[in-house]
Amino acid sequence: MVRTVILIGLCFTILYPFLVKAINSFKSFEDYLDPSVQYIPKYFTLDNIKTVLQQMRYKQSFFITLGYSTLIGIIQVGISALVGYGFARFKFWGNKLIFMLVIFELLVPPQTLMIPLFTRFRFFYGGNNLIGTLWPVIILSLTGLGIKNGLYIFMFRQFFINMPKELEEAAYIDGCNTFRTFYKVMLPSAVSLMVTVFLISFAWQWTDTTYTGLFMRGTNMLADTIKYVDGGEEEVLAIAYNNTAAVLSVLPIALVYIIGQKFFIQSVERSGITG
Amino acid sequence: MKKHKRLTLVKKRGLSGYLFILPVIIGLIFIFLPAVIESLIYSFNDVVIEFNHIAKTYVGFQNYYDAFMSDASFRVVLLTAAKGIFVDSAVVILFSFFMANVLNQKFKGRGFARTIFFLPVVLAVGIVADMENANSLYNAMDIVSETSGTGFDQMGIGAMFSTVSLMSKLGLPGSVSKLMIGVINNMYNVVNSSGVQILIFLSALQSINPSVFEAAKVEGATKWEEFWKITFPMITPSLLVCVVYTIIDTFTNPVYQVMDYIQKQAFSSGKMGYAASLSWIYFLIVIVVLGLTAGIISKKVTYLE
Repeated sequence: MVRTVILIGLCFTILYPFLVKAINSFKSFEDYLDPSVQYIPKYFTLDNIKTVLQQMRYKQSFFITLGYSTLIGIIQVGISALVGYGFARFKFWGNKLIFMLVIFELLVPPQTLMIPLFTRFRFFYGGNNLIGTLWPVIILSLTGLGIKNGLYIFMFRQFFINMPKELEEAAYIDGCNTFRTFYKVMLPSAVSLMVTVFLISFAWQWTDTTYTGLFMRGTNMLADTIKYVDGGEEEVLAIAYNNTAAVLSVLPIALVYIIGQKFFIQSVERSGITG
Repeated sequence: MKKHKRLTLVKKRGLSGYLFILPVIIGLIFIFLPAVIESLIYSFNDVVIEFNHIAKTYVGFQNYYDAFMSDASFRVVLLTAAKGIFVDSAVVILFSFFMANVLNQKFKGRGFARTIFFLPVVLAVGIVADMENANSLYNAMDIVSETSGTGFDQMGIGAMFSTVSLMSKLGLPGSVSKLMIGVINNMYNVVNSSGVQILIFLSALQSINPSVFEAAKVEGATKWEEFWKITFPMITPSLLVCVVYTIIDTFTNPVYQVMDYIQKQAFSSGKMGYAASLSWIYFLIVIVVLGLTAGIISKKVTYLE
């Protein structure tokens, strides 16, 4: 009984801001000024949404963000699985040390490295300016340095460490080399973890403002075009538009989460993200 | 001959191990470590970005000196953050541990509850988190416009006042009740930043072999004993992971103005060297706090092998 009350209360705490934001995006200008309107708008309108869609160039930026986040998600899952497996199953000099460094990557706040990374991509090998292109985060993800990438590597490592060794040994005896064993035997058993990591990295890339704001201005990502939203002189209108823009830009993520949450919960049930 | 062959096999496996982690090695050598070193060098220099190169002038510890001696607002921002981080991390850990235990029980609608609890993991970051901070103006307006009506938030404030009076009647010192009200007020933030931790705790709880509990029950252990003698020791490794993650997460939380302040120094005021030294100060504090807590906890961690 107590549990039910607590759970309902907390679920409400989580959902409340999202619901309010969603409702607010249907409110008309008059509703914002009317103190008697609390939640349900008197004048239901789609004007906010229409204007914001246009200002954000939503159609274009939606597909750019979708493609880019998918790409980044796939890269990060692939690289993290590969590296996690490497750390989990092979004994070589420096295994512990390099793994410590990966955790260290996670520890360093991105702001500490912001400036050197910015200058690195501003004058990338041979003076190429990569700022304002989509390359920086691709390069960072390929080298396991993306947003919270260390966490994914950590998760995969824990998962592979807990897998029984017999499967791989059987594969070796049947003549598989290490890479073949990895993607024929080990990866198929890690599907639910892969979906989880993909979901998280997709969502975090989608809503990421740190790296997008730093490296990828003018690339028409949603986190970038959200800054074009402009309510003009009227302050209330500016707030209304910003609110609507936030709702519109995270809406796809919410949908993806609702579709993919089965995997998410499942992988919680049996994954090994334990210390 | 045989011995030699065995050795090469081990070496071969070691080599393919290096191949597997090659991406990370490249990243470390070509991007991460140079960036760390560079940012350290910046912090001892005056850095200006010119047309196609970076101009550096060595200034020694001047930047660090300035940060503590002449920049008044940084000290304030840093202190506020340091205070908040302690309380917040502790609350987040306790809360997520509690929630993981609740979500681990069997009840109707568990799947639904879990779905909602992990929602902030994917949704309440980046854009939404930024909006939350930028919207403080809106929230302030919200409250002003609601003093006339009977809104949810106003009821919240009323309830808060009665909590204060209740606590003072109970004879709690003012600082304690203030802390508790701060925590309650902050509940939304706490719930939002507990997603990953609940996930980690939950998977740890589920990895405990049920037969251990059965054995304990047969021996006549109570639930309370089961919790402290089995559950808690079994999840201490995850506790360590959670504590480390939480501390990092709260340190980089945009609720505290430090990150924002550093970013402003670098990109609005153009004082890149100074910003680098600020972020190193902040980072060193993170490391010290993290080292202390992780050191204390890892002494208590039980490994089952």
